[in-house]
Amino acid sequence: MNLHKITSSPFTHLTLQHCLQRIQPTEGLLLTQDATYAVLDKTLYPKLIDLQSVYVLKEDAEARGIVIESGKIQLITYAQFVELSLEYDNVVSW
Amino acid sequence: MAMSNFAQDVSVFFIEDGVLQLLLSQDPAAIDAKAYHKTFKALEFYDIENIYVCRQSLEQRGIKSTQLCIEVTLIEHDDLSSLLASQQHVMSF
Repeated sequence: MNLHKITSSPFTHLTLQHCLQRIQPTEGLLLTQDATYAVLDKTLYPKLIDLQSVYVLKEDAEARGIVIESGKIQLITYAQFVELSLEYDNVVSW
Repeated sequence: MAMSNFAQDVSVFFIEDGVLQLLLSQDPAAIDAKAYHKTFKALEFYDIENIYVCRQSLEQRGIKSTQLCIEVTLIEHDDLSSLLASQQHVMSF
């Protein structure tokens, strides 16, 4: 099972949209850097919380003033990101 | 800010993801980045009062103007071109 990692803002790039069209519901999705802005996107947000495992890099969200309200989205540290990358078979960087 | 030192009449525009730079609750120290949003408060001391923010860009991102770190003037999509046209020089960041 793969962990899909997105780095770009959904408001400027279509990467997250492209990933969401292809990701399996049980796979992992990790939002880093400007991709953390995805939680502000009203159309993408419902699709995010439909997934089983959505992770947001805590440091990147806090740096940008992004507040995660849903319990379905897990805030993780850089150290936990490293652990996750070992738990999943592969990390797919979009 | 440097431009205003030369007594130029400066306007600043924030559109699309640029509006996110104005979010009040940013803490870039977490990723060792500079807290640029704190410097925006200094704009008024440089007599830069025309700070324009695209209303649609805010709305699309679910941001209210009360969540911004400075007072701004909201503009519509269509206003940008005419406002930019009234400037003598334009620099994009």
